[in-house]
Amino acid sequence: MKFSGRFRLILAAVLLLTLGVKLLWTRDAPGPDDALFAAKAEETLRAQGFRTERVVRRFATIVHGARGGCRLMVGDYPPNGMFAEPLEVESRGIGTMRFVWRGEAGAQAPKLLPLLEYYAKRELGRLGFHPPRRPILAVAANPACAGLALDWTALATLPR
Amino acid sequence: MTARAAQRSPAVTRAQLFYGLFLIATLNGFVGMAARSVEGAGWAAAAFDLFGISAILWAALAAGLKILGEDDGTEPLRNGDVAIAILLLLAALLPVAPASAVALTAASLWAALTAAPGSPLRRAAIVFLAMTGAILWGRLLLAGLSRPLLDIDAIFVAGTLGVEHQGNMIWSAGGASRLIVAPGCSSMQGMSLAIVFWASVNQLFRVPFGWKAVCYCLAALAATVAINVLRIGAMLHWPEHQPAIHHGWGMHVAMWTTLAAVVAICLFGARREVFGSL
Repeated sequence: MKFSGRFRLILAAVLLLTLGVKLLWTRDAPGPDDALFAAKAEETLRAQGFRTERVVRRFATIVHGARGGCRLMVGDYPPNGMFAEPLEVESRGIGTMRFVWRGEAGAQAPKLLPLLEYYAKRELGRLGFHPPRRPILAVAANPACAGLALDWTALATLPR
Repeated sequence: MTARAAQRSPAVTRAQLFYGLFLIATLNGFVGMAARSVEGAGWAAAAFDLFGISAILWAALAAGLKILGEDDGTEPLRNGDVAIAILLLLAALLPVAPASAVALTAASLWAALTAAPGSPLRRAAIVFLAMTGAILWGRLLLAGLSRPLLDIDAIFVAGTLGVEHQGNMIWSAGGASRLIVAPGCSSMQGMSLAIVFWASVNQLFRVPFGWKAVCYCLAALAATVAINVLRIGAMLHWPEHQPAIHHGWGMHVAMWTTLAAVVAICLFGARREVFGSL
C-alpha cells in the first residue's frame, strides 16, 4: 500500500496536534491523601467526644475511636474494593463493617458510581483540575455504639 | 489522471483511512502512560523503559500496521467510515487518553465487522481490538471485578504454597507476614498482554483460527499466571526481599520471563506459518 505525500502530511499534522495537546496538558494526578483522611477522621471523632488513635498499616491509616463503652474504627475504602479484606481483618473484635458514602450508610460497599467518579476525577486531575473527592468510609463499631447518632458529614467530601 | 483512473483508485482507500485512524488512536491511547513515565523518570529513562508501555504493545502496533500495509489499496470507503473517522479524531483531540482507547475500540470493532473475512483490514482490526483490552478494558474489568479477580491470584498462591488466604490476602506459613494482591500485581495485566501477542502473531502470519490456536493462547495465559503466582509466592516466602521482588530486580525477572514464555509459546504455536513464510 502506498501513501500520497498529502496523506502523510495530514497524518503527521494530526498526530502532532493530538499528541501535543495531551503532552502539554496532562500531568500525573496526585492520588487520595491518606494523611488528610486520617486527620479529618480524627477531627470528626474528637468533635463528637471520642478519644482517637491512629493505626498505620502499609495499605492505609486506620483511625480508632473510643467513647465510654463505644469503640469503633474508620478507614478509607478504595472504590475498587481491593482493601476490603485487610479492613475486615482490622475490624475483627470491634464489629461488622459498614460503609458510608455521601452520607448514606449500607452493609455493602457501593461500587459502580464511586468507581466512575474516581476515574472521572482522576482524568480531571491529570488535566490540572482538582475536584473534591467523596471517600467511602469503612466503619466498624461495637454494640455499645448502637444508640449514638454519628455524624460523618465532615468526612463526606475531602479536597484530595 | 483521467476520470476512469480516478474512479479506479479513490483518493483515500479504506485500508489507508484505517491505517491512519489506528495509528492516531493507538498513539493517543499510549500518550497518557508515556507522559507519566517521562514525568516520573525523565526522557532518557522513560525512553529506555519504552515510555512505560509494554514491548508487546509496541510490537502489536507494528504488526497491525504491517498487516494493513499488505492491502492492495483498492477498496473505497463505505458508509459509516467517515462517521467513525470523525468520532475518532474528536476523541483524539480531547486531552484525555482513555477517550482514544474507547475510539480505537469502536473503530477496530467497526472495521472487523465490515471488512471481508481474512482481509488485511479485518486481521489488523483484530490486533488493535486486542490492544484495547490491554490498554483500557482489562484495567476497567479488574477495577470493577477486583474482588473475584484478585482472589483468584490469592487462591493460586495459597494453593501452591499451602498457606491460608482470605479474599485477596495471603498469609505466610505460620502467619508471620501477609500480602495483599493489588490490581498492579494481578495476573490479569500479563494475561491481557499475552492475548495481544497471540492475536498479533496469529493475524500477522495468518494462522488459521481453531482449537489448536486457542490451546496455544491458553498455554500462554497459563504461563503468565504461573510466573506471576511464583513471583507473589516468592514475596511471601522471602518477606525480607519483598521490595526487590515487588518492584526491583524481581519484577524485571518476572516481566522478562513472562515475555520470553509468551513469545516462545505463541511462536511455537504458529511455527508452521512463521517459519514457513521466511
